[in-house]
Amino acid sequence: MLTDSELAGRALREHVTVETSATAHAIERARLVTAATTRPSDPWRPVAVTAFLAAALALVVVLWQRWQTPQDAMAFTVGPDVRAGEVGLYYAATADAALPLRFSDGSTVAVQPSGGVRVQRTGNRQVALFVETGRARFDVVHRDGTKWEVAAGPYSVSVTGTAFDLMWNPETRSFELAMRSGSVTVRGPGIESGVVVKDTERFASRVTVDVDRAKPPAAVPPASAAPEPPRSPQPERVKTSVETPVEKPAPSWTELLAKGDYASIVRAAEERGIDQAIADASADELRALADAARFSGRPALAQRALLAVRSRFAGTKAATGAAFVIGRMADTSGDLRSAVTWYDRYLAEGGPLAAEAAGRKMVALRRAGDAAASRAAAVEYLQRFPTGPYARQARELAP
Amino acid sequence: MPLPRGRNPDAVLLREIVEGRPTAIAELFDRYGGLVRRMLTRTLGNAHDVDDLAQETFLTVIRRCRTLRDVNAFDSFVIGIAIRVAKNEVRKRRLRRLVGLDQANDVAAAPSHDPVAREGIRRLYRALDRLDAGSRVLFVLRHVEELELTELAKAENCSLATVKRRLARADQRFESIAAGDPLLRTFLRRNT
Repeated sequence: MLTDSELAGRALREHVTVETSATAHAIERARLVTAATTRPSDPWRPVAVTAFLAAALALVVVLWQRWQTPQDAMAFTVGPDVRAGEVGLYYAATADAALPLRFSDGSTVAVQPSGGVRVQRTGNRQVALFVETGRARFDVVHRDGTKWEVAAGPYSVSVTGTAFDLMWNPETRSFELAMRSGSVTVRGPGIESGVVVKDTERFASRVTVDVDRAKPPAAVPPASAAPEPPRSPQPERVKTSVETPVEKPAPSWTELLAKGDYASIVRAAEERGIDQAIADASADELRALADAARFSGRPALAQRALLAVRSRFAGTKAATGAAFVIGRMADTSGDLRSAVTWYDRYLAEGGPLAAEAAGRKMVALRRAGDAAASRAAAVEYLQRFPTGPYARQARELAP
Repeated sequence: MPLPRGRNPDAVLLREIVEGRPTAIAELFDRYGGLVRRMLTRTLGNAHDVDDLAQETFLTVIRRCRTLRDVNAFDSFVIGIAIRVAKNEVRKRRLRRLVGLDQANDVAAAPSHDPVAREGIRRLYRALDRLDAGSRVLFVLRHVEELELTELAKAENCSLATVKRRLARADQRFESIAAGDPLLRTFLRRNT
């Protein structure tokens, strides 16, 4: 007979699951590496008040010097594998995954799929970055003296600490900036004095370029002629149209999910048409829709969204994760055989929650009354995860 | 559950962590990140700020690991630091709630599709809120994470007898609170 304390432990193990995606794990790992490698290794300990004051004064001097010295540049890492970043190199995200750049002050730039950026310059709390193409998500940490200059095409964005998404399409020469918090100043053709964009406002602009192509090329001067001074290039005639200077963007489904606004996600999908949404939503949107549907008591819709992740994004981490969630849904609804099948698929695809999936599979088999299979699953569990979260239950099943 | 022996770093890795090598720090996070995050989430009852607390845990581990003499004690060393971080956070949250700065209730990441479980978990954490910070952490590590008493003693840097006595006190307190909450008892016993 288990005590209430032991039953409480079992209930918490069963219901309070801790899921971390591989991407989130990689981001947190990069954050730790950046923080640990930029901190002084020895803690500074004052021994007396006078020593404290002297050291504080010295610290102020050192900080002032660091502030003044350009070589104390901010470091940054690139990608989930935490490679050290280099100023001047071009960093491009693949077509199916974002590429995180993490700076030593805690700021991050997530280059969205197919986008590319170049860090042009770093200084003490200062960064100049060029968005060559595509979309990037900026989360700049504000500290005294923080100054980021983000350029995209003919536009520049001055940042002191804020969060925003920026898109530059060099083919259509269109520029978009969607604020998530704080404020920035945008400068560019037609807005040389700068436009302040703040809160959750959105700024969009498009440049139309008319280059005078009618002029024939200059004749080659005779060899004996005195060299002419170099001509200044013909300036481009730039027509600028600032469209929708300020408009409120619709929050994304993942943002709505983070706020717990499940009803708005389901409603947005219904307005788009469930079939259409299932057919053209991104993997992130489908996961958000699935979660929103689950939390709103719409398991059938959740399952459709998850199955769409499986079929449309087969072979991706999102598809593997969907298998686990479908297994859990089946488990909860009492469809234990189906749950076992989905857990098996998840395990075969090598998901990061393998210990959790294998344990849940074992429990589902036990609940289904399949003693032999649950014992076999327990033996396998103990071999693979001898200290996993279900090890005690496995030992009870396979003593 | 004994602590995961396979996670213990070797002496070379430990030295590289002390030296602040990025690859060693990344490996440290890979080995212990899941364990620390799970401990913190289940102790605190929700995932709020857990990433920041995990970072705090690891930065303390990195800073202090030069003082570690026995590499085989690394697991207990990490768990011990995570315990201290969790206890401090429990106390801070309690204080914030007391002065009205923290309006957020400890609603755990319980399944929304199962209202009975959700309410049961909410009541369970409400009961844990009535334990002192040390008892709460000990209770979760023993009954939820299933750490062995000997490992808990090492992590807490105290004797086995002390851990047993403190755990018995925590259990007794929890069970007396649970006895006064029929819904919680029904929830706990529904799958027995």
